[in-house]
Amino acid sequence: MEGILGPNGSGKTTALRIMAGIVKMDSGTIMIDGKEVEDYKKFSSTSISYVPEVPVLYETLTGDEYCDTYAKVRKDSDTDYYKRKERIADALSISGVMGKPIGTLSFGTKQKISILSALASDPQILILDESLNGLDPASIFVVKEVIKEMTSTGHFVIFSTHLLDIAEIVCQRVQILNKGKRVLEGNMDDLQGDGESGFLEKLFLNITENGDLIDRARRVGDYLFRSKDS
Amino acid sequence: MKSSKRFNEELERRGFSTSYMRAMVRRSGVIYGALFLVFSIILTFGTVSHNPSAISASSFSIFLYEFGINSFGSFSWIQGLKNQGILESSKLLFPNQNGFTLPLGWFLNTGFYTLFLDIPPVVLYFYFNRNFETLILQMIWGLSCIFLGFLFGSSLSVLSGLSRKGGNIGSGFLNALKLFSLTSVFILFDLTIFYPSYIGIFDFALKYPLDFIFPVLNMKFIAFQPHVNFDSLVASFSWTLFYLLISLYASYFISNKILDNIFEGHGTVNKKKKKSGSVKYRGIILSLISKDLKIATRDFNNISTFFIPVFFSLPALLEVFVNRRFGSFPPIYTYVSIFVLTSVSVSFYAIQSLVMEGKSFINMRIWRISNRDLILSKTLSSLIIFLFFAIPVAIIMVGANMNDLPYLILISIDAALAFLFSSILTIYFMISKIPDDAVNINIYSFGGTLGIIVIFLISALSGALSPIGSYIIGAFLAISPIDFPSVFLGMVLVLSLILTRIGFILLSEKNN
Repeated sequence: MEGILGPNGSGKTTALRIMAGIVKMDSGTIMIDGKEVEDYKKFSSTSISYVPEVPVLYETLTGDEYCDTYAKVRKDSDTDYYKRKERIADALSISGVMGKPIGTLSFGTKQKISILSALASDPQILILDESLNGLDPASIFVVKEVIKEMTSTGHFVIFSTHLLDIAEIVCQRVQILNKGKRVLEGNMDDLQGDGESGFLEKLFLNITENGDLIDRARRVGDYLFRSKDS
Repeated sequence: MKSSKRFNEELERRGFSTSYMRAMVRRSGVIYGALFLVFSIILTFGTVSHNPSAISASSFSIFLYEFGINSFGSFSWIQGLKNQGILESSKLLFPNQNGFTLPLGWFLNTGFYTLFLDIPPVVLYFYFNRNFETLILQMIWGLSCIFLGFLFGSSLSVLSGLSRKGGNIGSGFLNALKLFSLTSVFILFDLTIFYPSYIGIFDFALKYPLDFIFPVLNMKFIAFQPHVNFDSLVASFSWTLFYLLISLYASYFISNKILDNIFEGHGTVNKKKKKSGSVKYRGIILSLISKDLKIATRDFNNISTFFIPVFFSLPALLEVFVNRRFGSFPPIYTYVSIFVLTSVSVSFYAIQSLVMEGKSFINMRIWRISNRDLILSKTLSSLIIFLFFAIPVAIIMVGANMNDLPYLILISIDAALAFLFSSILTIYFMISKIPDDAVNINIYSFGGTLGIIVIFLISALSGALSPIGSYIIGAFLAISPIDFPSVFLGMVLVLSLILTRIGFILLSEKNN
């Protein structure tokens, strides 16, 4: 499980969409397991699932119809699809609304359907582009558990987020992007050092904000609250 | 209104004031009322300026439309209450709801504004006939039509069990019904304007007492007749009030059923039978076509746009249909009419089939649908919708022109092939205008106004290739399309087949 972190505008979404085969790259290569894939478009269409930050689904289709259409355009056949879909929908607590038109559902439920469609198609590589935004804590927990299960069974998950505490728990590796460039890459164990909790947030802010932000935030806090006390 | 960003921001700014919400509902109602008034004025005055005696027939059409629009409106309104769970809180606050809560709430916020439809025909009828009592009778009938519409729409929603799919099963059917009622109104008005002798069909030749029994259909006998004596006046008022009371009582009765249905259904789990096993392989194209057809038929804006070419061809169609008794026409006339419908349809359908994707176009990228599959699926789904409209039109025209059955088959195949080739070329051009990484499509995505003009030109010219080619070949061989229609249509068929094949070759080269 690899986490892609970075401030707004750092190029996370573009990088992920290139990896997903959605956006063509101007230059460079994409390698899987150290090898360049010959027909990346074909590979990405059958092996990679991408979940965007905002769920833009077909509003007049039902959740079931949306997921089933994705499954049908993706693979020639999939023996366990319905069973898998049902189990994940139950875990995300959306079984009861899968027959309703997507347009009548809340943002969070739409996002769950978007994640469900990606997971139910059993991808080799799952790309989540800040897709946990808008989910309730229980659903974040479920997705986290599903992701852990996926990675333990040989699947690969690439995950971009602003939720650094989640990245700290679920990611084995992280990359930090800033202004379109990779500024840090490494295994979580190496980066963690003394094992202090919240280390990723400090590391992230130090790299992307040159350390100023923490001081600035403390100064604002002092100004707002301590000045009142005194 | 709920999904409007501006409304939500303003509502938040005003601290979620209920008076603001009420004012917004009232304002949108007034706008709808004004639109209904304009719509009714255009249709009624258009009819009467051609034929003043057609006022009762045009009024009848307006009242029928009022009934239809309220049937649709009440059905959608109840589905909205159900799907959004709007009444959930009131269930706790007011466990014993009055039976009038629902119909009255619906009437005050939506149904009332359709009364504006009645004003122009009622006032005009009064102007021509100077019967003051009919003014009152017809307005009461207007009210009755509104509540009868509510009764019909709400009964439909109860009968459909407020479908477990949250209204999706019914929405395609309902949109078809709405479109049918709208088309019927246009046909009725076309008939009353251009073929007044046909308006006699509205008399239904009902004899007393049957003419007093069927509501809406019998309206003409009650509210659109001079009352020769006091007895007939009393009878008309009695029947009119009787129908109003019946519709009100029935609305009261059914609203309890609706409330039961709404409260029972909301929040329950999806009872749809779970599918199991392997996902059925249907191929990318078939899955995309199925998705497109669902999107097209479940949204009234989409389906009405697909219907626009048929509206354009309605006057021509009616003329053929109405004048059929004057003799048979050469099959080539039928072909030309169908060809015009095809050419107009291609550009509309090509644009609509892509524009209806809107922001959801990102899914085509996420699902990694190739441009070839996209063009093919959009072309074929458009063709299916086109055939749905065009085949009945072809049957009517061939029948009205007294052409033989083989011509129907030949003309239909020629039209379908012309549509196919022309669509492939048009959508190919449109897709080439969309950047590879575009995740959103709208009407301006194809090169702005100039792009739209080019789309219309491409579809018209590409559709005309085979008939023009056949005409030129025919001219060389001295074969007139009027004298030898089967030879001409056969040549069109061969050329269309060749062009369609070229279209598919063009597509197979576009694999990205």
